[in-house]
Amino acid sequence: MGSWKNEDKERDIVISSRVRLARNIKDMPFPVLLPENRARHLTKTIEECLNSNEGLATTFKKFDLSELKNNEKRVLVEKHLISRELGTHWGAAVFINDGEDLSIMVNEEDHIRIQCILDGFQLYNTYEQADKMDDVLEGCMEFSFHERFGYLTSCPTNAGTGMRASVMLHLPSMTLNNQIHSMMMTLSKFGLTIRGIHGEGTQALGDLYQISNQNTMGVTEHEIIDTLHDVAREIIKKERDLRYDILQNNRIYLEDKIYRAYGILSNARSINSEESMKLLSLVRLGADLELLDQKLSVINRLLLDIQPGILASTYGEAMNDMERDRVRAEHIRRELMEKTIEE
Amino acid sequence: MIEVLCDNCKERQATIHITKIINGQKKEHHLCDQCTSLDKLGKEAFDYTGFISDVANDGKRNPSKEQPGERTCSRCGMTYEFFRKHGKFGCGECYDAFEPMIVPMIRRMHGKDRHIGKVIKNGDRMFQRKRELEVLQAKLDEAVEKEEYEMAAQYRDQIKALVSQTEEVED
Ligand SMILES: [Zn+2]
Ligand SMILES: [Zn+2]
Repeated sequence: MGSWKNEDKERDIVISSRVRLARNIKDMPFPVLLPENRARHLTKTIEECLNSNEGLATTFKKFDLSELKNNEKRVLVEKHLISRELGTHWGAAVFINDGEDLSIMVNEEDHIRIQCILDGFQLYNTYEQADKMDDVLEGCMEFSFHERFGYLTSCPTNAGTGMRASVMLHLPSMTLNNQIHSMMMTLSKFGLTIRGIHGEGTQALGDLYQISNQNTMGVTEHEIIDTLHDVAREIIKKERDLRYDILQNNRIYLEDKIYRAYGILSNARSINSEESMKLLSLVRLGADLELLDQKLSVINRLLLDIQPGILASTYGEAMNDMERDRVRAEHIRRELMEKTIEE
Repeated sequence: MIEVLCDNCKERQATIHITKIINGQKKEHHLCDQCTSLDKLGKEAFDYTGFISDVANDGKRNPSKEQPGERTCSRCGMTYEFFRKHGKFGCGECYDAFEPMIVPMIRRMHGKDRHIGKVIKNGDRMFQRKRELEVLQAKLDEAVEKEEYEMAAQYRDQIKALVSQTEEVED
């Protein structure tokens, strides 16, 4: 893999890397027009393909969307293993591997959506794995491919490579400095977009942003990854510079914000997910600047675990909003304390 | 009817008469059976009737009188109107059915309208051949246009060779 560069795992700023490939089967109507029996048959074909492939270093579990309970589906959405839309068409299913870093959605908007998601800044790895899985599936079925338009997808916004690559970045300093909007303008010049995670529109909860490629046609997969990688690296550098800039010039302001956030999280008796995300973002920043003795991995884990679906699956599903806020506060307190004692 | 000699070989009697009007200038081509027998190559390799009408239409391919809104994918029945409303196609063939309308849209979306990334297995060889054919065909068109019939005959032979080669591979 000559052009593959080594990637530092810039985990202080990059939470995760993700690549998704959309594929459809030749001569088969797209899921919106696909009858139930054919949709189910497709799921079966993929299952057999995965089971019969000896070269696969990982095993997959199948989840039939029609058999999943609401909260089970919610958990998969919160872990980014499936999209919210999965389940709106007949025969929707997802195959998830042991490590939960590879998933194959069946009968979502397209017949097949291969996704690889890895911690930290590992774009090249995620592409490599998704690409390998693409080859495995292609060995079992014929994909719909057009000489001019490439891989054909339900929506022309995905045609061509069918690939969406993204990185999830934690950008508290750029948010504090109101630099997200101007960055948005710059990104569009590179065919990239940014959107907030868990927020309305571009308003990000927890200062988490997803940067992804907008164009899928007229660029190669490698160019998409290269561009996203290089631009992300620039953003990482900028965020890091800003952090130290604020620390030097506005230390009291920043420390006050971070310690107050930590104070609330380690004492609250009831807290909703929105407020916890906001405060955890500051605690994460404090951990990175070594103002707080906390591990980034613990806070990353918390950002996931405090979501309503995952919280319910951990502490019992029959909780009302009030109970959930109480359990969430308790969970955060315990996690933050435990780690301090450990060290 | 007056006997006209073929423009190309200048030996046999012309049987096909093409009148082209370019910028109001009338131009006539007269060709014999022999010099236009490209259809020996078979329809798939070279759409002879299309070729003639293209020349007659001054290069405009398939002039279509239908309204875009009436277009329907013959494979899945999706109408263009439905696609415009929902932004989703019904099947892969919709891309061909609606190609003239979606190309500008795809260009707006992606800045480009041609895939250059990964291709399916065997795709490379298959599409490369097809592309070579297209290039040769365009050269042939141009040669005929410029009345360089010896060149045209050469391109025709190359097309012939490429087609038989492709058939061997497929057998
Ligand atoms: Zn002649
Ligand atoms: Zn169609």
